[in-house]
Amino acid sequence: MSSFLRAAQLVRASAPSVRARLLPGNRHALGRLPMLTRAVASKAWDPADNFVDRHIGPNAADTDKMLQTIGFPSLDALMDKAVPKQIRLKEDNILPDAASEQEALAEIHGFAKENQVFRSFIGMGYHGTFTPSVILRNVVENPGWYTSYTPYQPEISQGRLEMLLNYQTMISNLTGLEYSNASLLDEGTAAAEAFSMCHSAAKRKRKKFFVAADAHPQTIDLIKTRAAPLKAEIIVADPSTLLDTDLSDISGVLLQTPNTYGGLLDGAKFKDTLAQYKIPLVVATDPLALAITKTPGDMGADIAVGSAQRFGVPMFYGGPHAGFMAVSKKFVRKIPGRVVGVSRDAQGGQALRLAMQAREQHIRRDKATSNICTAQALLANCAAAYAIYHGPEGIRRIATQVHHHASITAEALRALGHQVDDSFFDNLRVTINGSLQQLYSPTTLDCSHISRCA
Amino acid sequence: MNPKQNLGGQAADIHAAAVERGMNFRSIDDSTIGLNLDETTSRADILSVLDAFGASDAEVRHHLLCWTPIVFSLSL
Repeated sequence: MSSFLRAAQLVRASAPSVRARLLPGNRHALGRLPMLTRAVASKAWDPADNFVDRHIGPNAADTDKMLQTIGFPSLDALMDKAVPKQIRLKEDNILPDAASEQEALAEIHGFAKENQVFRSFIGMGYHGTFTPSVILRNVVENPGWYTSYTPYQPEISQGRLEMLLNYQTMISNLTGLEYSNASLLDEGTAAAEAFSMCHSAAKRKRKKFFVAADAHPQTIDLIKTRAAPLKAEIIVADPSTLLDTDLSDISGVLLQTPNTYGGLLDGAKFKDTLAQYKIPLVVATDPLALAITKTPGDMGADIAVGSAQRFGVPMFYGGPHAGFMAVSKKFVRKIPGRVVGVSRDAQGGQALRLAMQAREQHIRRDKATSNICTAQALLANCAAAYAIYHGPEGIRRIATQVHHHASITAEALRALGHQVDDSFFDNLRVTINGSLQQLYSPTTLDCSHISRCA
Repeated sequence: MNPKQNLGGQAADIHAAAVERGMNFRSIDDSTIGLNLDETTSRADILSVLDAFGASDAEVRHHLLCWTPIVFSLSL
């Protein structure tokens, strides 16, 4: 209870002598305090500060002057004249009383407390990650980084371009593909963009696009959504059936590794066949896994997509996160979004500039590779900062440790009688052994099964 | 809930045990569960996971985690 409230209660409960001491308005050593009258008391609980008065706009005097100029006695009179009666609310006010900033925050914190925050082991493209404090404080919570919206003169902000160049370099290194853009909206969008690139590269002559059934469900859904208006057919099938599929009408193939259930796939085994049919390979992947597994570049992929979220960007209840896309030289002119490049300024010094921005603000709409290519600059920069903070060795160490934790868990679950898929990076698919009657006990603990994996 | 009951049941029981321990696992189907580990996964988290899967004996869990991690090899 605030001391003020306590004082008010005391006033109600105490003898006249105490009242005299507590009531404001009495003579005070520092001067005369304002008298609490009945009229003032009725407003005593209204916020002393409110949002309305802080609006940068006309104040009461400005409003009066404007009303006078156009000949209305009050704002209500103006509204009566300006807004047709049938669309106006009849009730006086259906909104609760305005809250002060502190009251509003308390209310919002109240809602937030109703969330039950569980430890997530769900995966599907969203992973727990530590945001190093220095990045949290100096990038994520720093208005210098988080308030920048689409820069229409991006070259003014050389520092921001430099960080995006770091991001592109990181994505290019991890994916083993030469060119990366400066991020896309999310992983699903990046995959849908990859589909559209393949579709348009096939000059719409090939109408089908193959998507591995073990890609993330949201990725498959987004590709289907993007394909519908283009009248492209999306074949969702197990990747092992790819070589049995009629490839003559396929504009592209999207495989995912690690897939949504955690399994790893080497896309290289499809490389020759796909090359024979001139079909581009898109690999959806996980940047942390790429630190220790075969890269899309090694697999002969033309396009790699994924989410950079687990590089230090909190899950944020589902977004936003930076989707990434990297491409081989063949697709460099078709990459959607923005690409930061190194150039020279008028004085011959090194300068960064947007080397490509093939969207409708910059080129003719029908020539644009994509018109839906929102970047996530803040989150991309945060991921780049994370990679710089840890360095390549640090990232490899994290990836290795995460895999080891998964391996320990897998072994333990197997010892409990459950089945765990053999191939994984950090995501386990566990088939429950429902028929197991006997509980695992120390006597059944033997290490013979470990040799299987050693 | 007694975690020992989990092994007699299917995925739903394990999900319930996980929720009881403040965790969410991925539900794939009636008998399949997805488990994703990450940078923030601690030893205590893995113990909680195993607990939800029915490894209730502390000593056993201790043994499980004392195993030397298998030689690091990916299937690629």
